[in-house]
Amino acid sequence: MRLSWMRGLAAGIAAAAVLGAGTAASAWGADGHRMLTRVAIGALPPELPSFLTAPQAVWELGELAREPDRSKGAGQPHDADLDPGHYINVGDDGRIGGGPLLSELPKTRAECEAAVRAAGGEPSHLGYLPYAISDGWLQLVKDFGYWRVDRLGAETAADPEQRAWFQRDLKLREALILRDLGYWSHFVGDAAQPLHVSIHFNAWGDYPNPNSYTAERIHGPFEGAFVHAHVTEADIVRGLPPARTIEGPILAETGRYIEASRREAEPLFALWTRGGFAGDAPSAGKAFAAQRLAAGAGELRDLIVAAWAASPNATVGYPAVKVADVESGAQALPYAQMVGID
Amino acid sequence: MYLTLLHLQMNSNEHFAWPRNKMKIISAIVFASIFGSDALAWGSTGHRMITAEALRGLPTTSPSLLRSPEFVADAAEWAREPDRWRLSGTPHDEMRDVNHFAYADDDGRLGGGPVFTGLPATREAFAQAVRKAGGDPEQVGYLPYAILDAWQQVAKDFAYWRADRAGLKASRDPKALAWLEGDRRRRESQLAFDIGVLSHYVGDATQPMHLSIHHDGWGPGPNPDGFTQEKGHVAYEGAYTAKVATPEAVRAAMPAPRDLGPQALAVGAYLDAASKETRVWFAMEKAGAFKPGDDRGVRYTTARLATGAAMLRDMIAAAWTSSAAGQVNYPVVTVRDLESGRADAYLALHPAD
Repeated sequence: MRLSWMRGLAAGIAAAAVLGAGTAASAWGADGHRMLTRVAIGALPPELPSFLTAPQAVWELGELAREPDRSKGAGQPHDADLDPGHYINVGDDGRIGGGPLLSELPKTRAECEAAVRAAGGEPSHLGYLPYAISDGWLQLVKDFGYWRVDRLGAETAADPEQRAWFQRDLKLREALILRDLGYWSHFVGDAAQPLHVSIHFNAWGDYPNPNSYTAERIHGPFEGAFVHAHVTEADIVRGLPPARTIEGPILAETGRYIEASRREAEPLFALWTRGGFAGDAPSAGKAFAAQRLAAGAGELRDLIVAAWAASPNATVGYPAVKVADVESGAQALPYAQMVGID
Repeated sequence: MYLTLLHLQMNSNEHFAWPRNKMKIISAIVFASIFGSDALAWGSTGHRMITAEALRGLPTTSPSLLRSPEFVADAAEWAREPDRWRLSGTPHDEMRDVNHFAYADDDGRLGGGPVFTGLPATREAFAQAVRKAGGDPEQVGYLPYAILDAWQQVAKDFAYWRADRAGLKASRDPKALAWLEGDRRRRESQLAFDIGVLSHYVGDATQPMHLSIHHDGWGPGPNPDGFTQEKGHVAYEGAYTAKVATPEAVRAAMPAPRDLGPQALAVGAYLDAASKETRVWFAMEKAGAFKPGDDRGVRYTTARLATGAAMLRDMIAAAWTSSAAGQVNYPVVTVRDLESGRADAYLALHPAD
């Protein structure tokens, strides 16, 4: 019975994947997040675990990329706690609420909020996207760390009982990695939308406007209807930046990535004001939107690779055991810590 | 998709397989735990047991999926996850570790400010209230909000699952059916995970030392009853509980199902009652109830686990019931419209934007 539904599911997913690939794309709405994540996964190098790039996994990851939007409206405190994770309203001076610079993010969310308050800002209105991205990346490193130990145990544990436990935990971890990666990819995607990282998050707003940029509320029309009409998954693939090795603290990388996106907010308003997103063939607008989505997909790809590279340094279980020590044989398989005999 | 259990050798008294050299490993963990410093709440045994007994105890009006062995096993394993993801680094740990506790003062106030029975509506409002009272919310902890957030997520999952099923029942379009079937299976896997996370935090609350400033030994301050200063938090919740708790006893000790009423009030009352157990625990410890062979400690620990399992059971049942009046997607579509056929589930769940 289970095999039967597994076959049915695989067939259904394959059909959905084929159908999805053939449709014109959408944006940072449902299809936009879906496309960005699918492109990033499709560009992963072969050294990453193959379960990530299986057709079923790609389908699931694309759907999970929508999940932080799909769970909106669950009630309070759920929404008030989670919704600010989608954005960070950064000033034109690159500062959050007049306080921290993106290039000098305090090491915790609480410290950032305290710094904003000290500068006279109100952090609850400004969002915490850098910390949502950093938190999700660290979770992925941890997940990969568990996966490495599970895989080793599933292949090498001498005790059949322990080997069976590792095999089951490996399957659970793979399901959880898809969940964590897909869910987190939403926030990496959000950060590529310049209006998710700027005080000009909807319209230009009540700020000096010497260039007379449009007063329209362009956020939704840009990321939704425009991209739906004009950008395809192939456009994003064509615009992918070359792979880049990410090293150093995750918050520093997150700040750099968001600052680059923030700098695109004013060009977006300028282009919109010039009519770059109007008409039947708005080539400049299409290029801009595709470039932003490609920048997000490229960053997601590189962050996943960096998480995999960092995972030998992760620890698993309690008391903590370093993954690299288990893989090198310096530390015995930590079965007790993994199964949790407490 | 939930995952199929591999055929583990199961003890008839325990849902999960224990290794043959269980006691040797327990000894190693006990040794390590005593000298560890981080409080984890219930160990793996407690979190698994609370989850499994809650799901098994669900009324038959809830989906049979939730009581299936595969679903129960997956959710029970994932109930451990909030502890397994510890020590991931900054800012991850600072953002997540504070969800496991809420340290009330002896007068029942959190950081000198709010009480469990009068919690502000949001985490941010709570933090502001604590700061206003001179406390540091990051030190006090956010357990009430972790529970409420996870509960609402489970209700949202149920709403999407209902929507998927409504679409599968009504649609004749092969493309829509294929997508809805995939989405339903994926939602079931997510539901098991989200219930596991909810279970973890609901369970944490029944550990008598997660809701009090006396969270590992009585600590500084007045101690007129001469309660222990020994740091017994980890040893109690972990090795001791693993030794004395059984699923059968927890099941038998679970109170009858009840209607929980409004969410925030229900969680506040649950935490308020649980926080009063700290002093009880210390008094029992002083009386020697947790020494080997003393049945008082066994009964007490069983009752704490049963309280958590019953609360989780009733929360899941309430989430299922409320999801019939839930909403999905944006712009929102009501579950009622989808289940009655007034709205198309595929169009609602797979919007072209």
